This record gives sequence, C-alpha cells and structure tokens, in this order.
Amino acid sequence: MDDTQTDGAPFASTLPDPGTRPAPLPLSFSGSGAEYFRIWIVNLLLTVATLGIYSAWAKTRRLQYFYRNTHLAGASFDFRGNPKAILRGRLLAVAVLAAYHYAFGFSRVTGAVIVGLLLAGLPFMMRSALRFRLSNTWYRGLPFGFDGGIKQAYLVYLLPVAILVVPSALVALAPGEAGMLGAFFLLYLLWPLMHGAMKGYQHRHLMYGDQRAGFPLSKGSLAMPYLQAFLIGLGVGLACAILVGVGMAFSGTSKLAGGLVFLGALLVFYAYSLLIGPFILVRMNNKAWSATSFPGVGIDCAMTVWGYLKLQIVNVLLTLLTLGLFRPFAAVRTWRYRVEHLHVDAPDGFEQATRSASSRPVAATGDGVADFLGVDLSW
Amino acid sequence: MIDALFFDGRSARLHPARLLPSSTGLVVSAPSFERSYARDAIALSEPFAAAPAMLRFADGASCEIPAGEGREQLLAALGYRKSAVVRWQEYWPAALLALVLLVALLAAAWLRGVPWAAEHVAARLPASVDTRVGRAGLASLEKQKLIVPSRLGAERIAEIEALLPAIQPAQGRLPLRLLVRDSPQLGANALALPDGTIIVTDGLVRLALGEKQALDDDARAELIAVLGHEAGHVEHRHTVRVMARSSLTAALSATLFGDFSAVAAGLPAVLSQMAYSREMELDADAYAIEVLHRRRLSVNHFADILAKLEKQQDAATAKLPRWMRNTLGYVSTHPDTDERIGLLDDVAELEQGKGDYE
Repeated sequence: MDDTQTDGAPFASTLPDPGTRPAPLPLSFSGSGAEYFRIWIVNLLLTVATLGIYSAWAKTRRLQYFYRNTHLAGASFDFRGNPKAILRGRLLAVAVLAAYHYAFGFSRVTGAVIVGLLLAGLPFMMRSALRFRLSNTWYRGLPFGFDGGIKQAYLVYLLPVAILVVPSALVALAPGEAGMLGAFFLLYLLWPLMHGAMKGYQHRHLMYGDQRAGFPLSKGSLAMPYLQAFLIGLGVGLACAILVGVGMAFSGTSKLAGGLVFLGALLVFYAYSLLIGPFILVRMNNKAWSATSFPGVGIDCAMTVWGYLKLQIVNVLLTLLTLGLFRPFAAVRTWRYRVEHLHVDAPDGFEQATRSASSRPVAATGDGVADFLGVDLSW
Repeated sequence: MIDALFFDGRSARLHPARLLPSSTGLVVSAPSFERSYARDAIALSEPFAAAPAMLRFADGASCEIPAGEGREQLLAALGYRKSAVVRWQEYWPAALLALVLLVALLAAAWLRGVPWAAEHVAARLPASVDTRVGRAGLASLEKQKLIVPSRLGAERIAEIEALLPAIQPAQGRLPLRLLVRDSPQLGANALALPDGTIIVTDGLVRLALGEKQALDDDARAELIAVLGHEAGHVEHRHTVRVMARSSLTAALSATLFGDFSAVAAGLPAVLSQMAYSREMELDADAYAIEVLHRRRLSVNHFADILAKLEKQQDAATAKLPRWMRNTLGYVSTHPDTDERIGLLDDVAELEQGKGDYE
C-alpha cells in the first residue's frame, strides 16, 4: 500500500488550532424519495402477502436505508437489529393488543387482569424498546445504548400508560360512573409533565459506546413549551375577545359585521389549534436534543415551527391526493428535515472527541428480554 | 483497490483505509496497520445507491465503502449476490409491478380472503358467543328504549307466541324465543338476535292482522313467514358470521395503514356499520319458504307481508345501528324488496303446479 493515502482531512484534525473553534458539523442525508418509494412498495407488498410476517424485515430494511444514508463527519449510521427479534416482539405486541381488545368481552375479571398486566408490563416494554433501538444503532463501529433503570421506567411510564389504558377499563367495569372517570381525566392536566419526564428519561440515559450522555434539563423545563403554548393561547384568546368587543361596538347592530368579526375570531382560534401541535413538538425536540451532550461533543437542534409545519402540511396534502403513494416521499422529507436541522459541536475537534469513546464491556450490553424480543413499539 | 473507512469496533476512531480483494478474502490496509480477513469472516449487506456499503468482520470491526466506482466489483469479488428482493426494488418496472400486485392482492383479500377466513373463524366460535352477543344486543335495545313492553293485549300476545312451534325446527341449532314488543321508532319490524331471540313489534303484528285486526289464517301465515325469515338468520348464524367478517376487515385495514390501534378505535364503528350480506338475506328468505312449505302454506303470504312492509317503510329505523336495522331486511333496500317479491312469485308459480299449498 502506498503512503500517499488521503488523510481524510475533515476527520483527522487531531490538534485543534488554538483560538479557532471548529464550526459545528452538520448531519446530512443522502437518500431520495424515489429510491425509498421502490423499497417501500416492495416491503408493503411482501408484508401484505405474508400476513405481516415480513414487516419485521421491512422495518429492518427501512431503518437501514434511513440510517445508512445519514452521515456525520464522514461516517454513516447503521442499524443492525435482528429481524427475527423484531418479529418476536411484534407477535407479542399483537397478542397483548388483541388480549386488551377482547379482554372485557370474555369477563370482567379477565379484563381487569389484562389491564393489570398491561400496567405492569408496558413500562418495562417501553424501556426494552429504547434499549433495543439504541443498542442496534451503530456509528463508527460502536453502538449507541440506553442505560435507564427499570425503576425509573416505572416512575416515568406508569402514569401515561394508566391514562391510556384505565379509562376504557373503567367504562367497562363501572359503566355510568362518570364521576370516577372525570376525576381520572383530571390527570390529563399533568400530561405536559409526563411528556417532559418521558423525554428526559429518553435523553438522560443515552449512551454512545461506553460514554454516557449529559442531560441537565428537568421534566418541568422540558414541559415549558406546553406552558408557552398555553400562554400564547391565552393571549390569542384575549386579543380575539377584544377584537370581537371592538367589532361589536363599531358595527352596532349590523348582523353582517358581527358575523364577520365572529368568523375572524373563529379563524384565529382554528389557526392556533393547528399550530399548537407542531409548536410543542418542535420546541420540545429542539430543547431536548440541544441539551444532550457527550463528553467533548455538544448537539444543537434548530428546527423551526413554521418550517416543520409547512413540511407536514405538504406531506399530508400530497399523501391524501396520491391515495397514500406519497408516503415514502413524505417520510424521506421529514427525516431529511430533522437530520439537517441537527448539528454537532465539538470544540476540541470531533475526531479528538470520538477517540475517547470505546466499546462497552460485554456484560453491560446484554438485556436478554429486549434482545430476544426486539420489542420496538414504533411501527 | 478502493478507499474506505475502517473501524476496529473497540474505539470510535476512524481509520481511512484501502481495501484490496485477495484470493482468500480481503486485505485492509491503513497507514498504521494491515489486516486480512477470510471471505467467510466478512458479512456483507445490502448497498443503497447513495449510502456506503457496510462490511462487518467477524472480529467486531467494520468498514464503510462509499458509493462510487469500483464498489460493485469489490462486493462481487467478495461474493455478494443481490437478493431477489433487492434486485426487485432496484428495477423501476418491477417496483411498479409490486404496486399493481399489491392492489390486486388487497382486492382479492377484501373480496375473497376475508369472507373465507371469516367463515372459518365463525365456525370455530363457541355457541356461547352467540348467547352473549344476543343478550348484550337485547339489553342495549331495551336501554335505548328502542323496544318497550308491548301494548297488545295479553291474549293476543299469547296467540302470537303460540306460532313459535310452527317455525322451531325439529333439530334447531338453538331453542328459539319470541318476544312481542312495542317500538314507536322501529315501526313494523322484526329482528333476530344471535341467541335465538326473535323480536316482532306491535306494528308488524297489526300490519299482519290487517284491517279487521283478526288473527285469521292469512295473518297467521304472514307472521310465520316473517318469523321463518328471522329464524333463518338465527339458524344460519348470520350475526356471528357478519361480526367475524367485520372484525377481520377492520384488522386488514389496520394492517394496511400500519397501525393496530386502529382496530381498537375502529371496531365499534365497524360493528355499527355491519350489515347482513345480500346472500344472507336470500338465505333467510329460503329458510322462510321452507318453513311455509312445511306447513303447506304458500309463499304468496310472504310476498304479501313484504309488500305491506314496503308500503309502511318507516324512516325512523335510521335510529337503529345498521346491523340491527338490516336484520329486518324487509325495509332495507338490500336486497331490493321488489326483487325478493319477484323471487317469491317465481316460487309461487311452482307451487301452482303442485297445487297443494294454501
């Protein structure tokens, strides 16, 4: 081998110039909608033709397509999950869901037992899913990982699982007990904090190789976008009320003017409710990723609410217009948007920072159940 | 020889390297080391157009080969053969063919597969399912006040109930039970619940009794025809079969849209949308004809009551869930009442030839 090898310039800056901070490194995506469309349609056909069995392999190939086309600092990500493990996880998930749906059809006792099992099992499954997904995501020959504890998983997921599962169980067990159900729905007011706690749990315990992520945000701080959205809503509501009041005062008894003012207020409210979801999603995502760091490496996530909203509106419209055929293109567009708004900041040079990461000792990597079942709750 | 990135699997350090296929496998040479791997120590995976090809070595190391010239040859030299699936999706016409096949497959599953599977599922459901569904259906009808206690006299009700033995088959699947109930909302109607409960409304009884309001032979025969039709639904287990079919349809559409939770969300909606198929209604008609013929009664009675019902058609049935509404069959357009009467007339002509039906 000759010595005139290319040095791989961007990655090999072992000695950072004093005083010059390297620019943040962008993540990039090289996939295309047209290429993914062909993968998607074949995956879909095989999944349907095999009554869903192939979906585990389809998922593996989909993730491989997206990960391998995602690049950072010259290297690419990879997914190495075992499709058979995913299949086992899916069979389990289908069995659990089917049991849940038909539980109360058999008897109240069966229903209560199944709901109890769900409450006891789902937090564990959520954690297993995080472990499976992350420990099968590879970059530069090392896997990511997740070391969140089981106890924390229950603290974080039990309440959200309960508000998902228990109301329908209450309806089945104690029909007509509106009071109890109503009291339970009050828990939804805590949803922002629950969401913040889940997001925090997911980020705080990230690992890359043997390195643990730093994540200083509390769940309250993560839930802040909900409060902001609420305050904005309050402001918008107030503005609308003033507008309606002023409109009424000037228009006097004219029904047309009154109607127009009312319509305007309605439109504002509609726009608000349309914007609120993407607003919270984008703000929380930015917050969580920007607060995540690895030794020597910071992350910056800067999606914009408006940009994300435009993207999703186009996605939804075109998917509807094409009877779903735009879906793979939409998936590529969304992934690209998310990837391209992520930057990685390594003040001492990225290559230097990555050298401190090494593989985890084998004993620490195994999570028998998750590896065996490949529990992965996303489809 | 091709440029690639090498990772030793122990650290995240990136080693620019060159790959050279050898007679036994692959040589990886980097500035600071050189390694060679036997062919069976290398795992190859599907290369995407613009993504690097990933090589994994048995010792935990891995390699990324950027897209570009020479990659295909290197992979070929290492013994990589594209799988059928990969070749399929790389080729546009084949991928588009997959779309066509998908649509055809879904259509076939929808039109043939689901009914076929539903029959198998229904056949395996225990009779207790029928009982439960029937009881729940009756309870919900009562709760919604769709049926209320009959306002007919006790004697009249007893007379109607006495018709039941006429339609109860000698070796029926379930013992039948007849309820006479008033229903301002359903008007003149009859429905069958899967547990063998048949409900006739006061309105239907009055319609059969006609202007004289007397339970003469004609009225009796007309009621037997209606009850026979409902007994046909029970005997052929139509409700459970329809439920199995609807549930499977919901599961299939949920699979399509990739979300099992849709089954949960959609199931109640699907159940309220389900209706007996045209074939099932005609089956029940055939059963009713059998019942009539067993009693040496002419199908003309059936045609008569259908014609009366058609006239009485009441918009209020819209309040019923569809699957119950269509249980009645008579007032729905599915199958067309005229068509059914036409079929009955055909049977009546055959009766004429034999000449021993009243």
